[in-house]
Amino acid sequence: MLIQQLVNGLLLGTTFALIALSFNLVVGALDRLNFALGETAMVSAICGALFMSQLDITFVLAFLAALAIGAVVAGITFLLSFRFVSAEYHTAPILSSLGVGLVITSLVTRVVGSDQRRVPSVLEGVRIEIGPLRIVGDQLIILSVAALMTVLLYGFLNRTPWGTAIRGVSDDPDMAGLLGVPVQRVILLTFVISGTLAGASGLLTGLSFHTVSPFTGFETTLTALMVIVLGGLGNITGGVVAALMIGVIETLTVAYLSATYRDLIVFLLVGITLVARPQGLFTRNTGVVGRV
Amino acid sequence: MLKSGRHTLAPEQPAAALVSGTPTLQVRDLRAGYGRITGIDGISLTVSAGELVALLGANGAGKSTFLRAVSGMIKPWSGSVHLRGDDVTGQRSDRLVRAGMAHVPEGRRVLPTLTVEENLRLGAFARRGDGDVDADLDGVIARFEPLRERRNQKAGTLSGGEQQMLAIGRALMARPTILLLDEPSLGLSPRLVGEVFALIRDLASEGLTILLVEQNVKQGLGCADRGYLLSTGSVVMTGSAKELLADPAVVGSYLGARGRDA
Amino acid sequence: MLFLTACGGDEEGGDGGDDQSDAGPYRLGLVHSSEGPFATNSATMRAGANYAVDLINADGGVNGRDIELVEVDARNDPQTLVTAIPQLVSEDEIFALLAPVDSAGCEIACAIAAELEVPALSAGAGRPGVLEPSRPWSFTMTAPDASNSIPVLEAIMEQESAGTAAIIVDEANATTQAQGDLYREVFDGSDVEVVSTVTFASGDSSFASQVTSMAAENPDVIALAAGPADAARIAVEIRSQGLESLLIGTGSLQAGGTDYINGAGDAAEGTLTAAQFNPDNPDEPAASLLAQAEEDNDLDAVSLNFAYAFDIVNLIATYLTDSGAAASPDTLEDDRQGLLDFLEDVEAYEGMSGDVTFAEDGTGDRPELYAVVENGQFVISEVGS
Repeated sequence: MLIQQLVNGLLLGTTFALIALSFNLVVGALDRLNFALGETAMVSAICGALFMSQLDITFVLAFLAALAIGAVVAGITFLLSFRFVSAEYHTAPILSSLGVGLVITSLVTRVVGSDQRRVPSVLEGVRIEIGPLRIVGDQLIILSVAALMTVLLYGFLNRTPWGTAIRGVSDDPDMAGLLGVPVQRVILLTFVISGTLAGASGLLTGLSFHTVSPFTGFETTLTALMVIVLGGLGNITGGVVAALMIGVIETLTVAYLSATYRDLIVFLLVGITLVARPQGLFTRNTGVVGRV
Repeated sequence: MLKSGRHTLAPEQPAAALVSGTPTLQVRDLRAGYGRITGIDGISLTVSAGELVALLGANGAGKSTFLRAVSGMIKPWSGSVHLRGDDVTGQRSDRLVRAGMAHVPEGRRVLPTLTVEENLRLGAFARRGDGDVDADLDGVIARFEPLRERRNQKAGTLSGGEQQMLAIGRALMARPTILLLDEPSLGLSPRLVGEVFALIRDLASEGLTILLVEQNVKQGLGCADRGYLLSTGSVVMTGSAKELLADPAVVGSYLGARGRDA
Repeated sequence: MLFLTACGGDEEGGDGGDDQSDAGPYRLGLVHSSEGPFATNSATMRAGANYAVDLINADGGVNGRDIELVEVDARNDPQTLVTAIPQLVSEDEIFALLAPVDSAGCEIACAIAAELEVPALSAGAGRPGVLEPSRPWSFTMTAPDASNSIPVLEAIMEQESAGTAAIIVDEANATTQAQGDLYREVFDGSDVEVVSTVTFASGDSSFASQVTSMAAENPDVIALAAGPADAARIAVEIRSQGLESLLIGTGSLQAGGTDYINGAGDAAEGTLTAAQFNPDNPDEPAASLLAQAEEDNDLDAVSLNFAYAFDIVNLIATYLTDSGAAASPDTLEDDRQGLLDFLEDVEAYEGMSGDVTFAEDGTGDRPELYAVVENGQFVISEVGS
């Protein structure tokens, strides 16, 4: 059972990893947190779930729609909360993006209601058994899609001119501009990719929880903050590692202690880490694993 | 004492006028600064095609502010910048790169988490579509041989000299019409300083138009065709490098005893 | 259904003595909650109360006066209750209060109302002891989970000859914790061995971990001590991990049935719960009231909170009609006391939810029913049938 629980934890961790990647991309590009990303994930997931159950479209199409919605919402968030906010005011985008998040939640509840929405299972009946280990269709989808998206993101960042530009802007936006990189467009692109990841995380989380609720946005943001603080703010690989760790720790706590200790233990872990290593487990530029 | 230099050599000297055609870079009466602090107060400057012009002055004279205002890092308050006859005043850096201006800022500013090759390729971002980027990459690496074995190393791990090579090489990747170099010798050992100036002379002799900003007046004028001397945000003297080096005011205030010895 | 039959269609205004049409409407307070685990139940309650008021007012009102609901959205925040209820009493001069449907909200709201000596009636709140701090001023239409569900579930255990059971409890909620205790009592009483007890905190978690733990013991029965939405997600996870255990719930799971069935889909099929309300009650007048409500409100089935809230409004209206109470500032105190006495003595009031009687402790006396999910609906039967 321990092995099964570890797998459950890793599965939970992969959805955390996507949302952490989403946050960290924006931290890298702008040194700012987009507090509306939790709600971005939520609205993508709600729409995806509705498309599947109401329009009867396949998971693949609903997933692509969720990605597109996440991208558009994050792009709009950038224009509303970041683009025209002066760089001098570090706290302004915190408030303006929190505001966008609140607006998203109230729009969703206004338009589609406050009910939680069912996310229909994918590959129903598919069950892979390896020894004591059992992986069902939904979990298989979550694992493979999350892994695929992470690999695609790494590939994009490391192997393409625009990906290199994103990392360049993350290192030194002024210098990147002097090299001919259109900085604002790169930042917009970063937000859009970040939104895509949030959308993916939202619908995959919905698949893992079987439902999505319009009120999960801020909780998602909190979880993501835990993860990226633990992994080292802006450290993309650190975020992925921390996400998997937190997923496993949460799952094992629930399985062997009690659900009420779950948040407590994660908070304690993050607290202790911050006291011992204020820069997170992995530092921004020179971590054990290093930044991408 | 600096004022006395003014009547020795008038600011708008004929050197530029002698060269026919549109100047590569023409700056008129540029004013810029940070917040309410004026950094440069009405600087005019011309660089013609193929020239190596040095902009000289002490720390805080406004040299870097001038370059930043020219290359779009800060918005000028007034005045104009023309690049090959086109008004590019206040344009964003990346547009200026497209228009042919490459700026190697003070402190080199390599992108530390990118590899050497990625830094170089990012230099060609504006022209990433054309097929010559790979060839240019080979060309730059051939010129800066020490970078070859560090090609896949993070730029942040390079030594100061290597970083300066990378910064200049990266600017060359954009195939610039004019190269703006801000204090390329800063923080380098004397041997490396010599190498960097030799490199600048090479580039100039290959026909590249260069505006060099230097604190080291002697070194700067040593390789330039013409020079502008800056003090507290204004041009106080201008002329050919030879004239300036011979001017007693320059010798007195910038070159000191060693200058006189030379 | 005394009230509707009493004034149905007649020219009430002509009766003279009871006509108080100059006195303005009778005001009733209603506290609902658009957020929190019982938001759906709350919305249903609100719909039922408003439907009752609409019918009464369309029929000429009570004593020639309309009934007006003064609504407050507590958004699942106790702080709102603390400020809103005194305001309802002092500013809006409400005659009585329709208290929150969730036990936690009801406990606070009823206590505040009792302090101000205002009768409070809830269409939910099934946790045992909820009314204790506010008696004799509070009532609930619901039979407490324990008194209703324990005998029903014990009968089910016997019928299914279950040997082992697992319990999954939402630890962050007093109502669901009480449900967990209830299951333990049921399993104790029916010699079923509890092989696994797992916990969760409502809201954000995936249930993979908890279900894996339970699956390791492969229990015959899994008891859901969870809000309906969480129970739905648990059911889906249980079925997706291939567990075939019988799922059981208390009466409150059936009360929040729509949420459970919509959330769980096919995974809800076969779930057994205790029940105290039958939306397909064949007895009159409930049968025709239910049919009418379904038609007027475009509902597939009337849910418990809807019917209970409907009956609360009509109970109060009946009292007002029978007593001719003016509920004016001068008489409010006496009239409220009058309503209490009336409610204490109500005997088999025939409403939409069947016969209503209150026990000594102010809770509803309800039939012992059980429900099974078949084809996406709770089908209600009497125990032993």
